[in-house]
Amino acid sequence: MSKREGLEGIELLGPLGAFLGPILFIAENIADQAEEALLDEKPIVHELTRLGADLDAGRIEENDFYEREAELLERLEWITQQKEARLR
Amino acid sequence: MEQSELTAPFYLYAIARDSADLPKLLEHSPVEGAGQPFLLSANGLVAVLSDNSKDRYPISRKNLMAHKNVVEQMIRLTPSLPVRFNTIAPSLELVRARLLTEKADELKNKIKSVEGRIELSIRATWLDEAKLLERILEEDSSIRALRDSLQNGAGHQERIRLGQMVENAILKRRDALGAKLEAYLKPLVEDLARGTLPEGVVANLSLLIPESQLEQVEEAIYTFDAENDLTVVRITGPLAPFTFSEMTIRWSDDEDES
Repeated sequence: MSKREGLEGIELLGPLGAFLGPILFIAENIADQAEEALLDEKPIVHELTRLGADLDAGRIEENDFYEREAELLERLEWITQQKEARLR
Repeated sequence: MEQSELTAPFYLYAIARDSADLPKLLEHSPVEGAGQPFLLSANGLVAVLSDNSKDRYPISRKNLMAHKNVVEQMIRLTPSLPVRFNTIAPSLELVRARLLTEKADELKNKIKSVEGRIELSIRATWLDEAKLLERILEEDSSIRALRDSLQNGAGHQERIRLGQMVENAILKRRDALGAKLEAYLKPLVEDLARGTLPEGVVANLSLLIPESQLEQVEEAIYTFDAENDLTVVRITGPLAPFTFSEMTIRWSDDEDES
């Protein structure tokens, strides 16, 4: 038996998961576009989840976690920028 | 703060129910370089905003945390709806007219639906893969038999077959454990969302629960944990109900209004 409380401030999947999650309310009706727009981001969220799990199980150190998380967020940022550029 | 002194554009963190005892400014740091988060009220609602925002913020831990911290401070003060990261409003007039006025009823209903609820994120992970493998060999005689026969030297095909059998056994066990955890939680939660399951992850759930159920949910997870020595369970939260109530807002007529 083993359990580890969330390390303070380590979990981004609240705001980030939602950032990629279901969209419940929209001022303008763009729900379909928004759903489609999430396809490319999902593998990165998958990787971020795996990274969090590796940290939970002690397979990586906290420093490595932050480093790899930053890389994944940069990829996410890059994808977002590409998409925004395409919309212009 | 006089609104005339504020500089557009405005970063929008959350929409919330107004009440007399809300502060004018929030304590948490704003997104980078923007003004201290303030409240704009209209029709019994408030928007939480920072002036002097950038046009967009790069996705980084620092920026996401700044957004999250402001939202979570707000949720402790009054029932609130998180707004999606990187929502920028060109003017206060637009926020007041298009959101707080035009969408007032919709927003109030949505606020009511998350009032008194919190989000917990639950992730179960295989703790020790060597031990998992050992357990699978112990419990599955056909895998054990194949493994033993391979020790006398065996072909490539058999090795692949053994690998697949082990993999299937792990997935089967993962699904059974995930179903068991959900069965413990289901009666206690109002809503449940399943997240992605990368290799090594047994269950990945977001739960929407009434605040009063927090202890029971934690109890259920401890029970699950006590019954399963192969997994480690991480509880994150209580969080703002980002997964269940976050709003995406687009301003269709930016140009006319800004």
